[in-house]
Amino acid sequence: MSFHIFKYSLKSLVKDKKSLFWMLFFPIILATFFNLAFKNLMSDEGFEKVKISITTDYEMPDGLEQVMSESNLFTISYLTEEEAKKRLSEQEITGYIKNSDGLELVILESGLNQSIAKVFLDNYVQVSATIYRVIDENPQLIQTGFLDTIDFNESFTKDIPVSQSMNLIVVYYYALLAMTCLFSAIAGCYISSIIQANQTDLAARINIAPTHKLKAFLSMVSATILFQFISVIILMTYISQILNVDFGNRTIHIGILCLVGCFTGTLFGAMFDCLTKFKSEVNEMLVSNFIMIMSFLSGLMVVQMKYIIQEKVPFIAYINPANLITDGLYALYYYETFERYYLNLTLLVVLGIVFCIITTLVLRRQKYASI
Amino acid sequence: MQVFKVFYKIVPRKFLGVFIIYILIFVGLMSLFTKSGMTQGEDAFELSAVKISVINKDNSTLANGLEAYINDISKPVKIKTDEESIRDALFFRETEFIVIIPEGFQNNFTTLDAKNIQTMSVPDSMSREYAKTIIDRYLNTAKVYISANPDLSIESINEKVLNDISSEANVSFLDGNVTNDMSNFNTYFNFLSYILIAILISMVGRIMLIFNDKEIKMRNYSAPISSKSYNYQLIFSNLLIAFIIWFIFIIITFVINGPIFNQSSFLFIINSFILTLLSLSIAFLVSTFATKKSIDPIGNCLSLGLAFLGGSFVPQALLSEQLKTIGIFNPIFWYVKVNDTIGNLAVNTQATLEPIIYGILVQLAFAFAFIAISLVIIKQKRQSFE
Repeated sequence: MSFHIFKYSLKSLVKDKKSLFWMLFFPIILATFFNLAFKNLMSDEGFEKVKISITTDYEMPDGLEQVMSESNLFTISYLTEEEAKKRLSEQEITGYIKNSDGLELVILESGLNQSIAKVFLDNYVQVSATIYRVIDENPQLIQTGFLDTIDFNESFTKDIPVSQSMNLIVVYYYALLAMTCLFSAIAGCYISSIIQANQTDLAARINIAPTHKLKAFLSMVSATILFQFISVIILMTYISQILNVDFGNRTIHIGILCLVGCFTGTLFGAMFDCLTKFKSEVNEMLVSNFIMIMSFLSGLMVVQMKYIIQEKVPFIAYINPANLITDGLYALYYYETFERYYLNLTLLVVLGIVFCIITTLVLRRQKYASI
Repeated sequence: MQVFKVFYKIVPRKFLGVFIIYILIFVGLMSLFTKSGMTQGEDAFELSAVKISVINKDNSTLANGLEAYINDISKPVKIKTDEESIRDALFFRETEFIVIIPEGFQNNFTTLDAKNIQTMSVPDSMSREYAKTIIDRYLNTAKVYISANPDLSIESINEKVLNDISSEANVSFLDGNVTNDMSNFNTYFNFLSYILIAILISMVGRIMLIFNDKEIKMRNYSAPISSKSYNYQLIFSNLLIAFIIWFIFIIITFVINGPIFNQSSFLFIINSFILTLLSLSIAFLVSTFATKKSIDPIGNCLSLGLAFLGGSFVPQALLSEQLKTIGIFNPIFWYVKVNDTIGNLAVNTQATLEPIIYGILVQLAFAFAFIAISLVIIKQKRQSFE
């Protein structure tokens, strides 16, 4: 490796405002937007008691109020029907119950809260029906004290704890990190255009120098990886420290994954540029669009996309570097074991090496009699 | 008409590709969104369907009865049954509640330890409580029948339970609240704000950059054409291209969402037209100070930023309080607000139209402000130029 080339590649990367923007500031700005937009998004998922009113104008059936308060599902208030109507139209309560002609739930619109109230009332009506029917069929049961033994509140379910880390929003940030790692492809593209003498004047100059081509190439690649890795670290620090997004405490694993991501990304760009014969600006545009598509498929814009791809076309999920990075981070966050993480890491390394081999095969022994 | 002609020579040569890419992305995303959105009925109560996946390992009458009941009342989701798939499905909210009915469930049902249905869910969620209620209801009723009459066959118990469960409490809606289902339109038009700004900045903004190029400008000013006519032609060309783009998106609206023509859709279209003017003014402003290199980053940040902070992607109701306060300074916020008002429009009276008109006026004011600022910048630049 040539330290000289390494140093100057790094310098030129830092001084290039365009690359600085795309590789560092753009992801940070995007992360800020995510944060602002999604801050409240997940908070509505937690269970809140349903606010419901019982109208005092009518006689309520026996035991209903007791069952309701025992269920721990409702916050009950007692209002006259007039007041309840008013509160409901201001959407302060989910609905109110009246008993004018059978139990009736009055609501404003359909929704989950309303459904819970409805199901609960249904339940009450049904339990009454069941009891009447049982007694109808075997009237002698009343004497045996059967009614005291029945319990309609028994629970038949047992929760298997899944994980406390269930925040879907983090996947957006993971996909963003993946995108940032892979943006190194734009720089990779540039590398391969300054190493092929028939593409730019700079490349011609570099080729004249007595440095071995592979050596020069590798130095540039490592400079890019380093630069990109630093911006990923900055981004990660920003997301975890300033935006307070939980990344878990497996920092080293995350770091390794991102480093490999930068490696694969850089070589992807280099390979792309070697294989195509467009102008370098066109290539850079194509590469960045390509990365956006990969990121999209790994859930950057619509987070469910990642799941859909994974279920429907798992093949794409396994060769998409953006998804490998996102999935690796996700596995670290959600799973206790490391199997899935290592699977993703290995695939990512393999992809990177494949890109590297293709690039060197194309680049090696190119001679230019005249340019 | 020379300027006009040049303008429309540049467009297909340089920007058709960009335009098509944007349209494709937009149409793809929109058809994804609208398909996933649930449609609600007119005035009938619909139970919210929680996405539940039942993994039935028992296959007995009771277990099948329970499964059929759950599938009937919820939105059944089929998932793969290996551990990892289950957990992934839960994390990505593909399903919200997983019920695992173990083997031998029916045989052990009457014994004391009946609490053996395993469930997996997002912790502390609303849908979890709801799904549990459904399961317990079915099984409790079944249990009562069994203990009342142990000789009954499971089939007849199942039948009785279903019969009991079918009796329901009445539900009525508070009067005068017939909401028309425009949620698809609402999502579509909210999302449109992002695409329109992005497209107009990357197209109009760039074309203006070409015209603003110092040497081209010098050449143009030396032509025997009055600067008044020059500017009018430019303005006209800009408006025309914005109008064409807007018109294409309106056609796509009806292609994706189906031809619904009523007052709401009409209002949506008007509002989006105002947005087009607004986006055009933003693009115009950007073109006054951006350079060829910086217009991409600026366009990206502006379109994403305004859209994110204005609630185009995430419903405004879920935005934080601070953001809502800052939103007053964000024209897209007003646009989305008007859209949401239109989407929730119940009865069309003067009173309900008022906030819509107000919101539209605010957007227009923003548009004028942007144009005014850009005119000032242009004038200053020209003075320093001369």
